[in-house]
Amino acid sequence: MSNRTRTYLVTTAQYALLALVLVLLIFPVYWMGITSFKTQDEVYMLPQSYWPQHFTLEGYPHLFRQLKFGLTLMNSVIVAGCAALGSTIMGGLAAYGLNRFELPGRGLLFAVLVVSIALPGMTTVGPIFLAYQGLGLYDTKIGLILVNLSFGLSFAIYFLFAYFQTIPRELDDAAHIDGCTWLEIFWYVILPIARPAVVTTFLIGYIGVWNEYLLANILTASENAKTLTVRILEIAPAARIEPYQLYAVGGILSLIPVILIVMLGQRHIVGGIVRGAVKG
Amino acid sequence: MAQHTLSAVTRKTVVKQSFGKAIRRYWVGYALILPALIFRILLTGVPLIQTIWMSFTDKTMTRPGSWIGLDNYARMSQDYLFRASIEVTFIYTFAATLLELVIGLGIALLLIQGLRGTSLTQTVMLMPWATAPLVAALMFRLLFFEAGGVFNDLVLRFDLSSTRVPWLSDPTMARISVIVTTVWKNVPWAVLLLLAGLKAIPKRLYESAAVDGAGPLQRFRHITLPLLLPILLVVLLIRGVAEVQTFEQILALTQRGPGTATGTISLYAYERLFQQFNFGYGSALTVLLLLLSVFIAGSMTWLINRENRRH
Repeated sequence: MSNRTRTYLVTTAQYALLALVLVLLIFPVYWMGITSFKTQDEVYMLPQSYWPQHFTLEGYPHLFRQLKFGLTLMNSVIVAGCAALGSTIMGGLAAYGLNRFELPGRGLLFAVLVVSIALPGMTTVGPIFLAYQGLGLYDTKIGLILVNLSFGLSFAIYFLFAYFQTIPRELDDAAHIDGCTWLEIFWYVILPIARPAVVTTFLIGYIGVWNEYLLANILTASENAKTLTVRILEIAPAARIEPYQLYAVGGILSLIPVILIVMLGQRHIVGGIVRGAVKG
Repeated sequence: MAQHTLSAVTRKTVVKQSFGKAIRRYWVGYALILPALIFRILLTGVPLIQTIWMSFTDKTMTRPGSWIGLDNYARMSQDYLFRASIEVTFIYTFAATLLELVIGLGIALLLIQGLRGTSLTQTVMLMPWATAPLVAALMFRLLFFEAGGVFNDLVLRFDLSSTRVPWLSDPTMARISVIVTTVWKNVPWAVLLLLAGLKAIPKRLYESAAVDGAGPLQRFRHITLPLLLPILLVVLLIRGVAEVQTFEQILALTQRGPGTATGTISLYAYERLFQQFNFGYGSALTVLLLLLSVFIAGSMTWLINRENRRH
């Protein structure tokens, strides 16, 4: 076999593998998409059809009219938006404080604030559940926001600290000479430079809370506070035959916003994933 | 404003001292950290201590709970469901983490070849990453479910089996199905990380090795692997800690069934805590889960530090 045929074969194999990877990545999402347009009869058929035979939209209005998914979507947007905003702001301030002030004990503070990211949510949610009952925070959006905000802080601090580290301190010094206070330095010097990192922190935080299930499931009880992930599993609590096409509708509703976010902010997010895991 | 400040950089040395004094105003620094710290203390620190305390009591929803020492922990060794869940958790964590690492590395190596369509693939990679674990589990239930899923459709179409395959109702099959779901969801994250690591390896190393007559396998073994090792360990660390805590994928895919074949320790703790409201025993289970996570994180961090010291 000549060298050229060998290179040709290797390249062909590589493209075939790449195509396979793409299909494996996309197919489950595609399948959920078309299932959401199928009738229940068609879902329970073998052989299956890879395009809806009796295309129907009935699943979507069913979720919104009968099951009040409009309210649920609102809850998810409010909880994810507020929690991500809160953890980005508080995490940003804390990261700035840890990064720019030579505080005694800051190594310990950093460790306490960041290392707790590895704690299982299951380990702390029990007492939170009990405390929320007494505090009137159980089954409220605000309770859910507070706890998600707290969980999001670790990533926000870790990620923004690493980014602030790359901003030269000479800029702070210069601004200080010009009479800026710490708040002005933060607002006029650091934040404009760190804007991409701040946006990334917010987006990754938003996706995290939007997708969160455990806390939302345990700390809510009514439709007024339940979020999308929780309600998708409750679409048919007592159905004898599971309405998979409705689960698919719920799944698609959950996917649309995150796919939009990912498409719009993909370069930020890829950078965020990589730098969030490996020291930036 | 920014221009103004930049012009002043040159004067930096003159005023360094006075700024040094200002920065010693610790209270500003502490004030910045305080809100975040209060949140972490109230919603993580305090609950953590309470959980550890509850794990030494027999607290339930109706019983305030009295101190029973290590009874909850002693009880685990007699508990059939607990032992089953530990076994599942170990198999699951080990298999899922390892598969994510190996498949992730394979795809990353494919994407570094500079093929056309690489950046498209990278974008598509973000889709599973951004999918909620619960929604990913539902997605795969649509593929696996036995009366109309895609996998059984393929099996029948290509005549691979005369009967429907019990993807979710046979114990071994259910374990495989759950692991496949998790791997689909998490491989992309590993790929993005490993790809960044591969890009950071200087090209000239490969070129000079090729000049010295090293084949692709040798180059992989002597250049790629050692230089990528720190990142491989980070992937093992983060995925290991995440997989050992797996909960909602199982809940949405198999509800720990059939029997206890896919019940992880997290799911078992959830049942004890929030379905039976057995806060004493449930808390003890979550403390054990915490120790497992700390053990994985600790041992991996130790390895990473040792690796970093060597270079």
